[in-house]
Amino acid sequence: MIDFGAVQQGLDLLFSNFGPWLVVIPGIVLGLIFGATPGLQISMAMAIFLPMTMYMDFIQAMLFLTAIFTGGSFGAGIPAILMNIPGTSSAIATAFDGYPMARKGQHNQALGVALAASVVGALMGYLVLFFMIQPLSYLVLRLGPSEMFVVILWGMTLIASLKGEQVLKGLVAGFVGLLVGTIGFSEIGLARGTMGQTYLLDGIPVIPAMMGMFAASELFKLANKGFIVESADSRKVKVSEIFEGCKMAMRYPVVMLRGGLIGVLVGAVPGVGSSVSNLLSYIETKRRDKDPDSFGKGNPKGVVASEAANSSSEGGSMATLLALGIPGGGATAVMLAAFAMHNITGGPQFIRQQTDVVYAIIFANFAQVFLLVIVGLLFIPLLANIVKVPMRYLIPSVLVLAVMGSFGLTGNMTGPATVLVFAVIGWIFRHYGYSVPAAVIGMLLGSLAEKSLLHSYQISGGEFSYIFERPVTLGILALLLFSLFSQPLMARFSTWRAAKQA
Amino acid sequence: MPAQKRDYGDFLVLIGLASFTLWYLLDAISVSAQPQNLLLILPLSVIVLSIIAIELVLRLKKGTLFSIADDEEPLHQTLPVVVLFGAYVLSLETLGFDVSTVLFIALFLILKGERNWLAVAGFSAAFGFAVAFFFSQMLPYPMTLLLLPS
Repeated sequence: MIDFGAVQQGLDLLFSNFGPWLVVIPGIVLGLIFGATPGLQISMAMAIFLPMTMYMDFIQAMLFLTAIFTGGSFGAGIPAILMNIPGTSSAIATAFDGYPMARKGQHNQALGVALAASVVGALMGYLVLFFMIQPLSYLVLRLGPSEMFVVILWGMTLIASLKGEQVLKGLVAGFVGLLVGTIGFSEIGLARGTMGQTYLLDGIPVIPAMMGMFAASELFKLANKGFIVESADSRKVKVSEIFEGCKMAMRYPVVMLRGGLIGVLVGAVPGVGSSVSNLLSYIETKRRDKDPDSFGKGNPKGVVASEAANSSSEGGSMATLLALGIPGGGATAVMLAAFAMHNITGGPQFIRQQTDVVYAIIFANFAQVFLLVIVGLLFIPLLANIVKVPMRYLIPSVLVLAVMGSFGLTGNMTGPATVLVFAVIGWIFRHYGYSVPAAVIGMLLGSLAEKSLLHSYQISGGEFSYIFERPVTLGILALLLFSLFSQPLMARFSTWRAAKQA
Repeated sequence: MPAQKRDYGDFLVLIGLASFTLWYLLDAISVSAQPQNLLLILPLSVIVLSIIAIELVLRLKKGTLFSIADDEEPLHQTLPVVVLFGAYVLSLETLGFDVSTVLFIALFLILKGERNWLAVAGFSAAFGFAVAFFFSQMLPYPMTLLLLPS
């Protein structure tokens, strides 16, 4: 399982000179800034700075890019906690309990909880990668398009049913999101729902839409408030309380471990990654908790679950990238471009022939995780000062950043226009109790769901019986049905039993 | 106790979602009725329309077709912000990213009760121009700017 000779060579590669390490701290800082700025993406930071890696050797380039990735994964949680605006889709579930904690004046503790969970999650991700890279790559290879499709459907169902009392509205939001995600050219070259507009041929720009639905719509709602945290005493940034938050996270080792494992496994599935893992981990933690009603109201376990999962996803997506040469998401896609720039092709051959390089990347990431603690602790107090800014200054500033960021993503007015349209839709959804996360995740996964279903159709020749030859697909389908019907059935059973006893 | 106001908004949102789903399904069918094209869209649309029908029937049964207005978030306070943001986005190309951003921030501050005119002018100009300049330098695409050098 572990090639110790290669381990020794990997360590030599890293420590024979100080060169590779010079880029790590700048990378973490860049990741923190881009992750913490709503509208700027980790993948955007990596893409902007990718040309710089031309002048680095391969190890140094990988260290720089993974440092941005590590910093960004945690950075995205900062605006999620302080403003209810996930910096990226990987921090959606962090906002569910992180923001209510901030509204209660526990923003310092929430940031500490997120930092500790991120560090432990990232560490777990790379530990699993270290021990399991070969078995994991085998597992990922066994996932066919039908499994991918049911994983997406299962995830959607779980997300849509988060708001227990409004499951139907959640499902409508999620499924309409999936439909919106298929607008534009399909896999077979047919354009649907474009209304003749050429800028819709590539589909709805998902990230600007996400920024509109999450950020702008929430800001409209907050426009009538004075501060994020109403009490002046609670707005103080205290490092001691951030440390207290770090300790608080350590009280939930099972939540952290479960989140970490979900993150690695889901992160290894191409195209799904941390956007889904944080939500799955959150839902699973809420489902297993003795007091599920406390979630969404400032339960630190929610923050731990989400941050541990999104950070460990990095290890999972790196496994897919290194072992198969398939990027799991935007960030690993940029890394794949860096591979190409250095004339390296990821995949089983790469693992076999350059095992020392693979181990060097893994060990460097262990060190990066510890550096994240130091850099994170130095930067959090700076970034946490945001709670001291009056809302009337904060809201237009963030809206402007979202508009500029969306322009940066599309390169034309499609981005800002998408932010505007989806901000209004998101505001209406929030006002009437429709699940905004379900709609957004639906949009993110719509085209992937259609592609997976189409590939399954092509492989099976349109024969429905094909599904019976796929035990994993059937297993996940069973899980889907269980998650959808177990709660109402259990509730009915309890009512029936109570009535019988009476 | 004041009389509770009926809110037709929630009902209209459901009807809007059903209309979008139906329109999208018909549009997809008009493009091509091949199974490969409708593999996901057709069953998903049928599920969405069925759920909406169930939701409406459940509400009719409970007599809550038009839910009660939510006064927690007064529309008269939020709507001007939405309109101002819309005007900002629509003015970006004509006024430039720099001037429209400065104007948007200044008007937002005034709308939300800031009466320190020095703060309004200073913050909107400093933040607006700084952000527009930063993005115009960082992005590889041309950005419309009225006062700043592009």
